[in-house]
Amino acid sequence: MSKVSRESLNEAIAEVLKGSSEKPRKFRETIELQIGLKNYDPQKDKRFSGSIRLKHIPRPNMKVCVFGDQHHLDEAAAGDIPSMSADDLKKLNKQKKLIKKLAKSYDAFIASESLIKQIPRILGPGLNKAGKFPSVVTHGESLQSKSDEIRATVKFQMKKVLCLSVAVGHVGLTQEELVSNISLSINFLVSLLKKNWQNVRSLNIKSTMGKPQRVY
Amino acid sequence: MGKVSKSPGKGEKRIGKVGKKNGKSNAPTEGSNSGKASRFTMSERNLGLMQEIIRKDPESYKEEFLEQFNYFVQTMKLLHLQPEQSRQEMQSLVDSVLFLSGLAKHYPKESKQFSDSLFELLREQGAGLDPEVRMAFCKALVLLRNQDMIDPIILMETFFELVKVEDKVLRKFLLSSISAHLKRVYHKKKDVKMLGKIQNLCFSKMKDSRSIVARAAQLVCIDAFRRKFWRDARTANVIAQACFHKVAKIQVTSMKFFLGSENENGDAEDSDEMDSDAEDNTKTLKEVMTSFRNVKKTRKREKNVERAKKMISKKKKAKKEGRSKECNLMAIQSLYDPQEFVDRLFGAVEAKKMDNFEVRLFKIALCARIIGIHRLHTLSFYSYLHRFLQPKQRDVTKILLYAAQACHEMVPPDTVEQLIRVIANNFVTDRNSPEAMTVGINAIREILSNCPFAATEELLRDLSEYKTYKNKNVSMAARSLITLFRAVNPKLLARKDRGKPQEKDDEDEEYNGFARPKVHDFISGAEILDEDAADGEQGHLEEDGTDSELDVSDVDTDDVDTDDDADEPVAKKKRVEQKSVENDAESDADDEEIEDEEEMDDEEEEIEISDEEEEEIDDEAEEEAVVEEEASEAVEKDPKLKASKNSMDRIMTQEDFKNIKAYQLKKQLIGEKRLKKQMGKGRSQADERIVDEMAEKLELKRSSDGLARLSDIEHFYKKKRQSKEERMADVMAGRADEDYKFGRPKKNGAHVGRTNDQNSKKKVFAMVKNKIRGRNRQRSFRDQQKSLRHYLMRQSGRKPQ
Repeated sequence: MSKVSRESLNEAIAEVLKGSSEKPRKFRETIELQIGLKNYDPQKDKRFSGSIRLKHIPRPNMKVCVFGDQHHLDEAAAGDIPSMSADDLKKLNKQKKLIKKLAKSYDAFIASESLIKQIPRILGPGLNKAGKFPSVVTHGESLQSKSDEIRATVKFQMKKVLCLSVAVGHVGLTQEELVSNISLSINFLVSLLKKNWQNVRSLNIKSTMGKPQRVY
Repeated sequence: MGKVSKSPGKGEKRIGKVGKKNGKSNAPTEGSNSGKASRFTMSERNLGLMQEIIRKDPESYKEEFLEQFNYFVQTMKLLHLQPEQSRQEMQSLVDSVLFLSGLAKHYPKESKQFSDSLFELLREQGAGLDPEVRMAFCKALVLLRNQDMIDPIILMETFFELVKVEDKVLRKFLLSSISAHLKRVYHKKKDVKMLGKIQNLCFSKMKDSRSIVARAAQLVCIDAFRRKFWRDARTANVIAQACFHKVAKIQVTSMKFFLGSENENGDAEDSDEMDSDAEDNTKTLKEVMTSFRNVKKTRKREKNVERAKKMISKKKKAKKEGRSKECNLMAIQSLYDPQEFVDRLFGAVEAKKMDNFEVRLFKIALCARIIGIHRLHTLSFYSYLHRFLQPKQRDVTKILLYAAQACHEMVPPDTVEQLIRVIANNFVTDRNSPEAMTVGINAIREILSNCPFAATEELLRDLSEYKTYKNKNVSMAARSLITLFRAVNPKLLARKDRGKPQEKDDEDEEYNGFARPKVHDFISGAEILDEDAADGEQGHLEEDGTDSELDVSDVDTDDVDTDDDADEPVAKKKRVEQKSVENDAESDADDEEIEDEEEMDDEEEEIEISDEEEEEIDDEAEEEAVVEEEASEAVEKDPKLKASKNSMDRIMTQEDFKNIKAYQLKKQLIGEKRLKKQMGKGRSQADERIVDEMAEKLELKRSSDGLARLSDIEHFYKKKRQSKEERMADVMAGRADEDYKFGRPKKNGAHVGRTNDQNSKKKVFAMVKNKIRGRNRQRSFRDQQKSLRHYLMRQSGRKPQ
């Protein structure tokens, strides 16, 4: 027996979508998956983390900034992607506040290959501390596709508490897209756990402002 | 002070009595003559007895209690005036304090005065008192506290004040009583508020200007953290702050706490957790066994199963080891701002040249560990280590270990590369001793296993030259480096060292390269599941179970039996094998290209998948079955596609995950096996050992904090020849715990040196009577006949023949 039947998942998603269409908000609501764990000691067991690329982008509005060399800067300018050059970064002068501000104002960063190695040296530990250390992009990849890739990637990471939540979609997606996104992320999450389903206490999906729907 | 103001009138009256009593206690015989206080004097000599009596009926014996109490009050006054009195004089006071504290709960009013006066004296003249008296007072106070007669906070304050006194026994007592109290509060009362209050007090005492008080508070905190009374982030951080205390001893204690020593936790509760884990493991073991039961038995399969069993037990062992470090790991993990902390600590290491080498080593160790666990960026740390990396340096293996621990995936590769180069230049040269070379190569291996992207082809090939070095230790170290890279990144090795391309076991890796996080597209191993089962919920279980078992056995036979399976058109060929064929074909091409190609492949596949999905969605209502078939045909071709489809379309069950796990375990085993095979004819037991160790280590890394250990760096394949003294020491150590079962008589006892026969003659007849009787009864018929005959003959006066 599957722990979460297809029907119940469908139902829950339909409920969430209905809730958001009944009372539309002034922004696009994100749909998130909330997970409660059990039989897991965050102090003892190794903290798990893993990322998976969902097929449909859950957060299309994520702001991605490029730290680029000349090639990428040009491309970014053409594609209307926010970008910063190495000199811009050096201007921050390792000031903690400025770097913190930078880290806050974007959701993710990508950096070109030639630059990535210097970034710890230029910026110090600030970005790393915020958990937003840039990921690398080569000249072969287009910035647009790379940033889409990053937008589609969700990271499951357990911290000090026994619950976590990830964005798995938004209300603009169709039912089927949501089903595939959610089942993929549930499967992936459960595969990360040591005892798989035995570690899962609850699964909820909810939209930002909507009511949570329990699926497990 | 209340006491003094309260009793000016009474005081005079008492003085006479007290004078009498003082005399009495000094010379008890005198007092016993006076008839009036006979009952009292009886108990005067035996306070314990009187305590019992009073306890039974506190109301009616109040007078006696007050008598004793007054005596106490007067003596205290005396003590105030001249704290140094001889022990003899004070004995009676000690006795009465013990007596009063035992009875305090029956007379709350007096006990208040009693405890107040004790506090006052201890505070004002604590240092001047006789050690025994002081101890008696403290014990009395603890007794009162245990009866909830006094405020524990005030008591604790007093205790922290008393720590200043230079009295080892007292200090020990104070600390132990504080932690005993914590235990009491934690276990019996579950008084969170009180616990918090005490915590606050301790934390404020940690900041005390007097170092001994701070140290006492620190010890209390550490003890409470270890014993789980205060296992929280706050305590850990306060202890962390003590790493910057001006007194070196306090620093060292804090750092030792974070670094942890091996033998300090014997938790009883570990065992039950072990049990649950064991349960989990046996399940997977069961899986392996059932799959074995249902296939044809061959010797090879039998061997494989044995190996799987061994693997599982290995895992268990690794888990056990990991547990021992959990306490300090947790403390490190709960630091509020590790980056700030490390920066500060490292600043202290760099700036201060004064502190001695051990302290500095501790600081370096702590920096390294926190950097490793939290994946921090403290880039100057690595270059700081350079200066210590000399073979002649004291404790160089430790420093190498710290270098290895501080390396992680997020460190820029060029920094690590510099570090490795320094080690290689200083250690791994022919002019150094083989030990230095071994240690150097081992350290490089550990560093590279933490951040494999830092390896360069040139350096690695250089180091792998040493695999034929004449010293066995060096050559084995080089081989283990090669083995590591066979698993991690074979492209960097020389062609002959690469071996046959094998499946890369990278499920748990988080990074593909520097700043290139690993992103999954699907659940690895999901390709073994049967995708039709998604819809038909009924009968799904059995179906799935059998199928996957078949799958597993398929893998078993195909992949292990045939080495040349790359040519075989097996349907279940794995993805990396395919890749590896590509790689072989164009092994000269750049890594980049291949990666790109692969990525391109990925994208193409994704597009395919999405197309199919859309189709499915469209047609689902009408021709679900047909599409599914089509899809499944397509899926048959590519396991990757199938895996992604599987993980997208359905929610996997516990059984599915179990199957996947069993499959992966098998795969890992096969990978190991193949690795061993690759080593070809020249392989020895040693090579196999290397592979085993490597697997064990990877397992360990996954399960615990993943930091390198000293034993990894100091790993010598061949042990150094021991000297005669060392051997004798070993022998002696072995003998100590051996109980002499064999070959030697027990030395003492009356029976020693006699046979059992002889012994039995010495026994009292009553003891052996029954035995003889029994023996008589077991006589044969003929014997009985004979003795009867003799008896009758004698009776009749004839001589028996």
